[in-house]
Amino acid sequence: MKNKYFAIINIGASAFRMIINEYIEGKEKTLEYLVKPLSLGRDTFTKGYIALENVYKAADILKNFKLKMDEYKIDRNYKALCTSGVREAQNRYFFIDYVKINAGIDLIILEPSDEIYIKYVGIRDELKEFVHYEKKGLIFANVSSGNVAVSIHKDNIMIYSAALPYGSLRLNEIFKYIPIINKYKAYEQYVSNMFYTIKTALPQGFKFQYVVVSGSSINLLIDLLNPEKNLFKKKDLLNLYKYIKTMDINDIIKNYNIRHSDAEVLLPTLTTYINLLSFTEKDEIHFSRTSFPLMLSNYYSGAIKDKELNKRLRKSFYYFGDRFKFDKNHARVVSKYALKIFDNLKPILSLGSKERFLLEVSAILHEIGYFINARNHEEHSFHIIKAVNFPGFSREDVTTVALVALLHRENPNKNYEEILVTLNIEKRLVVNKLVSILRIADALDANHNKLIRDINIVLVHDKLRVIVKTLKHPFLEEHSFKRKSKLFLETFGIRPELEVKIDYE
Amino acid sequence: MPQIAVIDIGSNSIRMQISEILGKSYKIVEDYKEILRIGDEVFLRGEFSDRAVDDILNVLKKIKSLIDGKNVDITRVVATAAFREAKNGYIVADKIEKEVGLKVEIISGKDEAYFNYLSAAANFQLSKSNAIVVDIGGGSAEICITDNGNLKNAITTNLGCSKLTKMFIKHTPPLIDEVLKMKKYISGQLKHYEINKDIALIICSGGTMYNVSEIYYKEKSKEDTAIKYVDRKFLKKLISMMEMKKIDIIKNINGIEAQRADIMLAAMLFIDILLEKTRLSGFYTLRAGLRTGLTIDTMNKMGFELPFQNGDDVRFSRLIEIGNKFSFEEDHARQVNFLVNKLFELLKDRLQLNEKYRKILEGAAILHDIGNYISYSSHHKHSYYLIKNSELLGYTPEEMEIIANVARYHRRSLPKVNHEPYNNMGTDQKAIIRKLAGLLRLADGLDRSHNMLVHDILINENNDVLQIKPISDMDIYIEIEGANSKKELLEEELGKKIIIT
Repeated sequence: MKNKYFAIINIGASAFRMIINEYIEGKEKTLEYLVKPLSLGRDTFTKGYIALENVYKAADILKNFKLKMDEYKIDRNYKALCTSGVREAQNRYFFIDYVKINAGIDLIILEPSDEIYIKYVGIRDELKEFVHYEKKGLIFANVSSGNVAVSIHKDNIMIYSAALPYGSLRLNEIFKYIPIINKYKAYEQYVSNMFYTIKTALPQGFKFQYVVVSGSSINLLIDLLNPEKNLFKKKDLLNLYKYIKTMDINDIIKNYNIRHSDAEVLLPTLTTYINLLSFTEKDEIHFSRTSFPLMLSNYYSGAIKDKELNKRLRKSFYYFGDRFKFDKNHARVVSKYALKIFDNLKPILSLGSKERFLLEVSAILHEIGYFINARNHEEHSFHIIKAVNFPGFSREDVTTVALVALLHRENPNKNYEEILVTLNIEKRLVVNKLVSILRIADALDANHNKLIRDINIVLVHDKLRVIVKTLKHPFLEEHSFKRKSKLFLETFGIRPELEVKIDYE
Repeated sequence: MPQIAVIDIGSNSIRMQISEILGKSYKIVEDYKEILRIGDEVFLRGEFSDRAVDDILNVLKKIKSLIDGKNVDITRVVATAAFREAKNGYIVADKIEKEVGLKVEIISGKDEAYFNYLSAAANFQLSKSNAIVVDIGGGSAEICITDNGNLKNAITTNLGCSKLTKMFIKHTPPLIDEVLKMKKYISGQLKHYEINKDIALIICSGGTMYNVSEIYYKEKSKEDTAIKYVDRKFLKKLISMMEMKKIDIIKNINGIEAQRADIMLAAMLFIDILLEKTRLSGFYTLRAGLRTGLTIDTMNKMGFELPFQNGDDVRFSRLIEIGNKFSFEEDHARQVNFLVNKLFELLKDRLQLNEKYRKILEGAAILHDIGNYISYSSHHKHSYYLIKNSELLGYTPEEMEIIANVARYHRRSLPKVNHEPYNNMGTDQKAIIRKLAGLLRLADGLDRSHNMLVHDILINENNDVLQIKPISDMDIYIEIEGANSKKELLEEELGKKIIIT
């Protein structure tokens, strides 16, 4: 990588941050780090929108950030990213537009799954033991002002992921009218509720080995607890909690010499940390000292890479399928056949490894909707997949996979045309090609019993020979192939033909 | 979980169903049917011909290979009237066992009646009234008469529709005289049994009557459901059409199964006679009666019992069952149901809500959070979707739509006309949804901590303010805060300010 400057602006729920890094041979060197407190979250979490005066203030802060970037002659080499404070505001588009016109900065809204993904890769890059934790049973929580984003991993499978609306500033806003003497009880009950929600989604008797936390809340606790290693101990957290749980905000500010905005969120933050430890039955929390802006910078500048992503996602999707009691063998067989067809079509497909992976995911999940109801199951598959929120798997990918799964049946009940028209022509073409392949692969295991033991694909100019090996004549598969291969002919102008080779044992 | 396959070798069709047991319920994972009309020969000649035997064997081989492809733990095969009556019935059953490897139970008419009763009891609230469960097959018809949920009488008759047709109808369209004789014969066969206006419900199973209900639903463009209700007026219309038209024309009726076209008239006349005797204006049909009963019976033999068999309310049990399927928090669901029921009691007159909406509110309260299974964010919308696509019992399709909508509005946005499902409802239903959702939101707020702290609710009204007082022995800040943040819709509906103290 050549040497360059790269800037990240991060608009959080309680502060604006900017970092400017210089990258030399992939290593970063921080040149500037600016923090300006401005609590957009306070508006968003209570009123639902950002008040006009705060829009003006935001633009002023960003104008100054822009001047700083100009000093380094950074023109396009930056990303300005907003999290929940803007993401959840009803007037977010106005906000973005206003900032663009008045400060000349293009803002991007970071989706929750992207947010946690970047933190995940960031922390994994830094904590060498993280990979080991992921095998053993790990909860990774990002406790910020707006949300608590949680992902749970075991055996390199992500078994749970969600952004839950229990951030510290949000909690503070919800219970601001409750007298101080009772506040801690309210937080306590409320936060334990969040963990209950998580628990219902986990397998029974699930055991955690490690707890890792990131988020703006870390810095505050580092200041107060001054831990030696990158560890918070439960007893230290409990001690602090005991002192401050009924303490007036002004006394907290005085006694600990911290800012008002930090003092407000201290109790909800501590409550969350302590409950996290009780929930996991652990007594220490690992954390990383890397700031979120630095993680963003390393991610967007390409300084850190995630080579294991697809492998991890694949495992997690199989796990997800199990949750909906899908037919795992069928999913395996269909994805194997689909990929075989894909690989043999390479010369005419003009699709890459990304689309190949999307095909595989579609094959894994295409019948997941059976769990809801056998009737119109393709529509239910679509519905379930649309709600997938896996760090590292973008919204766009989710939409593609959902559509391919919907269309694996010839005449889906749902009116899909209106969804298709929202896609551009290239995307639509991708969907069409993947569906054509998936339908054939699905037909080859129509009976879900792996009657066809293996396939060979031979592409000869206007024909796709699908040669199948079986012990018995596959009547159902043959019939299904006839129906399900029509789209392939329409899409590629190539006629798929089934050739049955019966092995007599 | 274990899987059960059941095969029903009927006189008209051979059908197979594979179900997976889910503790207190089961789900169908495979369904297969072939219409063979094997009974026709038997009722004419008294035995199966070689060709018929070959046909049976071929279909069963296909079914066997379907079953072998799954992880089926137990397979049960039953044969009914055609096998009972054929002289070579037992010989054919042996041949099936040898050549296909399936052991066939030739069951009595009484057993057949019992399985149908089980199926009806699992799907209808039989304990509240008297009902007739009738299964019209090709060779026989089984009738169960129930008395407040108890099976009073199980009868097997020779009123199968193929058989009746063979006995009386020689022309197409049939002669008036042929139809009259058949009606008289059916009435005569039924006169010994207590079928009168004490009967509140007629439930039909069997493929032929089910097909009648399918035709009706097609004509009315109604959504396909497992349980269907058919108006007697429609039945009369279809009967007179079949009495007058040639078979080729009948076969073209939208939705009719052509192989059943000739025998449908006999089945319909039979049901019409029952409607006449009971003075009812319509009847229900149930898909897969015998197979459902057989599946339940097999589950019982394996040690599994369904909720209705413990005397529970079928409608309510089904709600809990669906909740469990989606791993809901049962305590919270029941607490919200308890609270919303209290609120309904206290406020139904002010909201002008009819008593019948209580059970709708109950459905929404029990199921409001099930969408969590799909994802926490937007879970209210997922709840809507799951309720819409889960088969609740004891509610009409319209009531289910209201339940789904009420659950959808238990949090976040209030009902708006740009929300499509809401907007598709009629004006009256919209008003109901708003009122019920208003109650549900407040009740959900009153269990904000999910700790079931509130055990009673009092209200006090003066002028423009309604005071709601949740009673608890514990501190309930969260509940009060929760209710406060969710009272807006109810305030709008009552036209009053609400204070929660």
